[in-house]
Amino acid sequence: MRWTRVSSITAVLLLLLGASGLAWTQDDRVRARKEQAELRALVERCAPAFCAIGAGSGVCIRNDGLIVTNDHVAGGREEWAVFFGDGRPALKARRLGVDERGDVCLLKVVGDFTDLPFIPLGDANRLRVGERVMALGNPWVLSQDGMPTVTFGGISCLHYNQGGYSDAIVTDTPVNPGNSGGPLINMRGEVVGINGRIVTRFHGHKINTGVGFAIPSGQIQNFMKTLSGEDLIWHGALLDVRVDSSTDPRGVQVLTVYKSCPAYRSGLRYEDVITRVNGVPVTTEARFEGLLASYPAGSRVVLSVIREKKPRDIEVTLSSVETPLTGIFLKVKSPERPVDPTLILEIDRVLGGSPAEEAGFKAGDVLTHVDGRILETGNQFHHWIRYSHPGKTLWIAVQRGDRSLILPLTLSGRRKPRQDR
Amino acid sequence: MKTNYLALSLIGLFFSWARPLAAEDPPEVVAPASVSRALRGVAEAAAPAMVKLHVNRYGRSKRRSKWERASRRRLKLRLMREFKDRFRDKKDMDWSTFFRYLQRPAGPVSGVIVDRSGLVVTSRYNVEGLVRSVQVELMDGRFYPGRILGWDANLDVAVVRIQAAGETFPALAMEPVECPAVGSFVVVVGASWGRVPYTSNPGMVSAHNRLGGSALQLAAHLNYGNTGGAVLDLEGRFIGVAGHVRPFSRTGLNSGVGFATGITRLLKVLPDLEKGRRNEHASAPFMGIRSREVKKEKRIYVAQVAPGSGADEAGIEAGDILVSVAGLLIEDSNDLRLALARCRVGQKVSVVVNRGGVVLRLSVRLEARQ
Repeated sequence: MRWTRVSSITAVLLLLLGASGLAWTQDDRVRARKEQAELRALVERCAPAFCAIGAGSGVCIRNDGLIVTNDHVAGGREEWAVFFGDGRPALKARRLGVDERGDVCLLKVVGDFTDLPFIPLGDANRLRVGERVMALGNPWVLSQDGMPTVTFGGISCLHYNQGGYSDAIVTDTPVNPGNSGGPLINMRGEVVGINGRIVTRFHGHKINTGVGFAIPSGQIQNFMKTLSGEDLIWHGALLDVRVDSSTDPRGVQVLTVYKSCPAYRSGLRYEDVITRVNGVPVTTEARFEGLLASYPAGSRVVLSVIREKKPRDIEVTLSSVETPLTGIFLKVKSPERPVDPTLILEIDRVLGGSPAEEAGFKAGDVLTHVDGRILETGNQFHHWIRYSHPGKTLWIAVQRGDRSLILPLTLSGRRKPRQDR
Repeated sequence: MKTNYLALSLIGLFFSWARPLAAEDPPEVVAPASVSRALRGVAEAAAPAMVKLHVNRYGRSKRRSKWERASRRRLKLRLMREFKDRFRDKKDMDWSTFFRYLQRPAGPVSGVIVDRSGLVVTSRYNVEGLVRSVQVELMDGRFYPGRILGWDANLDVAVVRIQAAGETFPALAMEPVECPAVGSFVVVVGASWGRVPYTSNPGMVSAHNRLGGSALQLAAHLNYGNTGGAVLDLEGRFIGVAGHVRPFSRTGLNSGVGFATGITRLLKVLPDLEKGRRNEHASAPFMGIRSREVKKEKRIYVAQVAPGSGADEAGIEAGDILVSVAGLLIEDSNDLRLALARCRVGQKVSVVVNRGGVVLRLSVRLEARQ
């Protein structure tokens, strides 16, 4: 009886061990094979839409040949020869629009195509830290046949404010010089970002260290309308709103909000805690600014705000990070400071080729109203211009001699003439 | 009592089978753990065929040869000559590059036994330069002298014979395996310092047909130590030898871009290399012109044509404006470089030139730079 018990227990234990061990190893290999098959299929699906542009990369996001790449890859030239990843002969592509600050450039393949390989733009806001992603690119310009280099990695961080890449995805996917402009693709086969920058500590010698930055697809989507058209690209900001992240763990708290600024007019108040910008959680001042800059100036974003323990949503219109250009120079009558508040706002001169000249302003006109509001000081005029964005039309009333005129002033951006490389 | 044991064993069986099912990840989350476990099994199976090569250079041994006893100055001159030979066509050759070339990392390098008689395949870079002797260390710690038989610098492959008559060694099977598709898992098994028996670095296949079609591109951590090691796929098949480290790279770091020579290419050259063939580097394709760039006009002029070159035969003359090369528009020297990078030596490419307003289409044979 005893012997039987011992032997049967041993038998059961042995069986258990053997069975579980077998199950694990078989399962590992089978799962690994399954995953490998999925990745291969993903590569096969996505690689044809990769584009080699000059010494950089790009990706086709629409079947008619709309290509997204970096400004520092393709911004410097009007026309490019583009090599698709399916090995077809080079196609000619024309530059549609450039976002210098955001480092995005949009190209369009010349000709009527409807069947070009493409990868759709995905939603970068649905990414999670730790999610696996794939990068296509042409690092070190190794590709001789247009076939991309495929590298895999993970998402290290999201919504990272890295200067111009204000809402960047941080990834440890190997990304090197030549990967610039190439897509970052999630496992569903959608473009979630455009790889553009890497962190490196070897001065002048760029090489991947495991920290790469990608422009999120959401930002590209936000700017798509302005990028495709003739308009200039300006990134959004909330001017004269100062926030601080150290006082409230739920978000950032408003330290300063000027009564004249658009955010105050929309309902943002002192000591409001901003928790989200269009649904994305806000943790630091840098992220708050970065999230706002990922929308074009003039667009409306929803701030989720907690005021006196009650949550509420406030919709604000974004100003531009850079001051728009009017071309109007006001006359300063009194050289002493502070400037006399009862100063008559007379135009001293109008810049040639500026929006003011196009609108018909002349030296000697006296400004009285802007959009129906009475203009009292020069400082006021300056702030109202600052709070609006390029492309916006202001209706300005002027006194010319004994006549009153209302002139439409469409603001433009201060743009340096760019030399083609 | 007996029925109780039966029930217990049944329950035990049920749990042993149910465990992996219960541990299964949600479908959108991939299972890197099982991939790494599977690759670890592959590496363990291949490990006995790995060797460490102790390459003896510049007077590390106690007995010194005649030139090793010579002054430092003479040694330096000799190294410089070797360096100039090696980097003849490299324009960015300078002193810092030279010293980096000398700074080969210490320690053993990797090799893999591919024949039971003791034939070791490794990277050419590992046994490059003035090699005094090669000691082959097996995984079980045995040392044997080795002899370098031959190499192919374009494939970055060298063959070393273990000098042990009549003995047999564990070897990896060399079968002509098709290159695994891009996105496949691989593991690179290599040598390392100290008592660690071998290193295994998992990675992926990044691309095919790199470096003029001679290499497979990998996104694995390939470095100075494990080049020359074996690259194995998920099924445990030997698919290539890691190689193509850039000794003149200024940072000396792995960027996530590594290379391996595929097994099919290796099998083609292996009999020749065994017989002692030594293929040196081939140079980049060259048209035979010296160009002059005028940035303002966005044009490239032909400044000089090398007599007897492909450009000379095709009838390109000094003063021609290059319009396109191999179907690519040429506006600056970078365009020309990129266009030629897509071509091979020996290929005929169409070149369009503008000669005083007359556009000519010519066919130029590309050759290696002399």
